[in-house]
Amino acid sequence: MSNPQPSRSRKAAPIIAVAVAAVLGAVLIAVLTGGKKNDPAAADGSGVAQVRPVTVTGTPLPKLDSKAATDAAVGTKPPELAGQTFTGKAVSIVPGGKTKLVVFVAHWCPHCRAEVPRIVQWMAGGKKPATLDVYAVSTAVDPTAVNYPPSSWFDTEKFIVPTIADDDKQSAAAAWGLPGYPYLVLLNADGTVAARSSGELGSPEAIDAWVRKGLGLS
Amino acid sequence: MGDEMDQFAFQRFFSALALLALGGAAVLLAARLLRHRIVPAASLVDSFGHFRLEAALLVAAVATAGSLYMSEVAHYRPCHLCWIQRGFMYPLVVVLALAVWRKATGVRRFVVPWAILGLGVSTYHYLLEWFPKQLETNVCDIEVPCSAFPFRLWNFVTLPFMAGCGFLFIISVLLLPLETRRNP
Repeated sequence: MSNPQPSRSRKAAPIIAVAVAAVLGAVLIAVLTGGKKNDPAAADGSGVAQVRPVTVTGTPLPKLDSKAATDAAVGTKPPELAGQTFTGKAVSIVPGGKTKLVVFVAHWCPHCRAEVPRIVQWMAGGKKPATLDVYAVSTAVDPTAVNYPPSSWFDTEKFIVPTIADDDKQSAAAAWGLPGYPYLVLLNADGTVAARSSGELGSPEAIDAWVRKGLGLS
Repeated sequence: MGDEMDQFAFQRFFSALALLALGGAAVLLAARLLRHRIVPAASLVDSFGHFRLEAALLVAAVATAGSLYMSEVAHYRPCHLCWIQRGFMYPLVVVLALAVWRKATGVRRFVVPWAILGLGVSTYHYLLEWFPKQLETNVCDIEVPCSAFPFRLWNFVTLPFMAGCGFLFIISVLLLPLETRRNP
């Protein structure tokens, strides 16, 4: 004679109860404790904000099509950008006067995080043409994403160039035809676009070669 | 600051659950292989075998709740690979709940291949986070690139890792046989 077995439904009851309790508990805690998104436009105690107002003046560049044989923006003038650094200091990127390299980066993008140290290394290595000014635009700021805030990332990487903190609508990036991150725009001394590139170039040497080719220095 | 701490606490909470699921899956797979040689393994398979649908439902439900927390409360924007994994995980809650209710143990014939597909996507997504240049392109998409991750806890736990642990546990528990010992 075998022992009476508890029914399967009675055996399952504790497991179902644990399942329901776990889910309800997780949802309850989540609702009660989580929620608010950090405001990147709000300055912290030291006056640093991750997004700042940007004014765009001029005709926007077409979005770069990396697969196209030629870039329609080459030879045209990008719009002028007037913005602020993370600390609120005024910065303008005005085409013309000197050759310029403008680097658009997103703090959460792994390709930007790989490329920025190479740009820093290229600048520090003495290969950067003396007449070239380098600017940065921190864009697509997401306070929930990794490597936030971008101001700390720039400091950590010692990426110390005049930097515009793009606004939350990414106006600067859109006006300059950004298709993806990172995005580099090289300007001739007359203010026209010499070359554009989206994605990692891969090494300080490749960055140097791309710049020199774009400016006709190689 | 408080919100950041809460968010971090939840990352740790769901990451810990994912590691538990991974450990559970490893134990169940080992027990399944050794059930004819080691008595405790057979006992474990016996015990879990009776509740495999419930256990799978539990993990699918917690994974779904965690996924919704990450997007709706923590505001992590899901990339398209995340959405595909959601497409594999979310229906499992309904299907397994119905299977538990109707005692439809045969549902594993459909759920296991479904979860294996989900595990495949999670594995690819996880590898993409580590090798973005090799597996994708050298550029981040303008929207939500799959190679970008909102966090990598303990330097290895990310969202697709968690999803993969969930799928692996569901596969492992549903592969358990219903009976290991036969009455004489």
